[in-house]
Amino acid sequence: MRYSRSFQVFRMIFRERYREPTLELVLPTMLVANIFLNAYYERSGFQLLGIVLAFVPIISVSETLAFAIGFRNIVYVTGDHIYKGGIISFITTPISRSKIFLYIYISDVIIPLIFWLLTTLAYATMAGISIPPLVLLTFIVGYFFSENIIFTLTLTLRSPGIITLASLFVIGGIFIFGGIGLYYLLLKRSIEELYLLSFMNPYLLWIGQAEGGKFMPIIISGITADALIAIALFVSSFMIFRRLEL
Amino acid sequence: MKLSGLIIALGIALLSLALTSINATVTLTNTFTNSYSIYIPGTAIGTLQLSQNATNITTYLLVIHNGEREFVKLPATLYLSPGNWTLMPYNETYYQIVNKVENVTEKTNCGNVTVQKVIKVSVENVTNKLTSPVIVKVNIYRMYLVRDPGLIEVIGISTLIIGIALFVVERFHS
Repeated sequence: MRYSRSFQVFRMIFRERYREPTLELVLPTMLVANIFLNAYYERSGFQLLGIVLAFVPIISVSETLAFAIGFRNIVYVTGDHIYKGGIISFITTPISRSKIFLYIYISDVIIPLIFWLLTTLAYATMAGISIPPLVLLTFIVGYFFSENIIFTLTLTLRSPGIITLASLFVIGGIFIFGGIGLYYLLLKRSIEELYLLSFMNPYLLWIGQAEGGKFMPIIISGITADALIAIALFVSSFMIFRRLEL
Repeated sequence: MKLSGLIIALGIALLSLALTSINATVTLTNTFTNSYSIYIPGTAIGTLQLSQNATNITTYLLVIHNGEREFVKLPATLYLSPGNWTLMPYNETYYQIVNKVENVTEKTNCGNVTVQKVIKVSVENVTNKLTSPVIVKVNIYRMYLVRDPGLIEVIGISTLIIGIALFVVERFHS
């Protein structure tokens, strides 16, 4: 069977990132790691709070795993290729640069997200827990937000060590200081300032919402801001990749 | 790409999900006077303990479970089945000892004398509103990870068998 040229390149890019034991290790772990959803759901008296807590990154193992795989793909596969010049062999294949960028983006960022989404939805269906779609969307948008930051950093800084440090500082700073700031503002009950910081860590607002607050418009504005920043970063990394000089 | 490894791994994961359950007992304690409702998912197994911290009160609760109505006299223990549980007070009966002042006419040698006497009378009160709050203890002593462990177990075992068969085929026919 002969595949089209684009598909052959895509398969090459995909296979490089998901070699033999990767999928076998990652997919079952993601599926099983969702037991925290059940555990927190039980502890919270079958309320929204348990679902929200189980969806906070770092607490949720499968989310962290998806993020880590995306991080590894971007920094240590794509970033390494750009740093050492291995990307030239991909660029010299007879398809356009924008297509190569798209394939790299899909296999680096979108496929781990699809794994996470599939395993989480399968688990939620099996366990009979109905997850609010907006909670899922919060993580999806946040995932694109942080992975696009790493992607842009990779294309501008190039060296894997520096990218790892820089992205840890940037993303960690955004989430941790955003969380601290939002917590302070939640205690202060200053709604206008909450809108400003809401894009930094919407999970805190979700916890507030589950505890009986009314923060839904703030959460939606935060997700929208996250999505806009993610799209801007995606476009900018696409521009940088198209003009990449090696 | 070899699929057999992935399918075997997924089969083991499904099997482990079906066979595992969280056994730590979780107790949720609440009090109410108006109404209380809780949703129990299909994975939880436990009891609902209803009691009242009062000795001379008899309370009947209306328990609505998935549309079925039932009257329960406190204290009571109910086995939880999945669905929505709503508890509402139906009536409360309690006896109250009241000091009653009565005019009693006594016959004496000098004629009839009216004397006021204090008599203790016990009065039965029936109300729809609770005077003493009901304590609800939801004990979840087992939480399955999946709603239908049997089905998931069968799916896991069959996935495992398919994976092993595929592994054998890939091993000897390539």
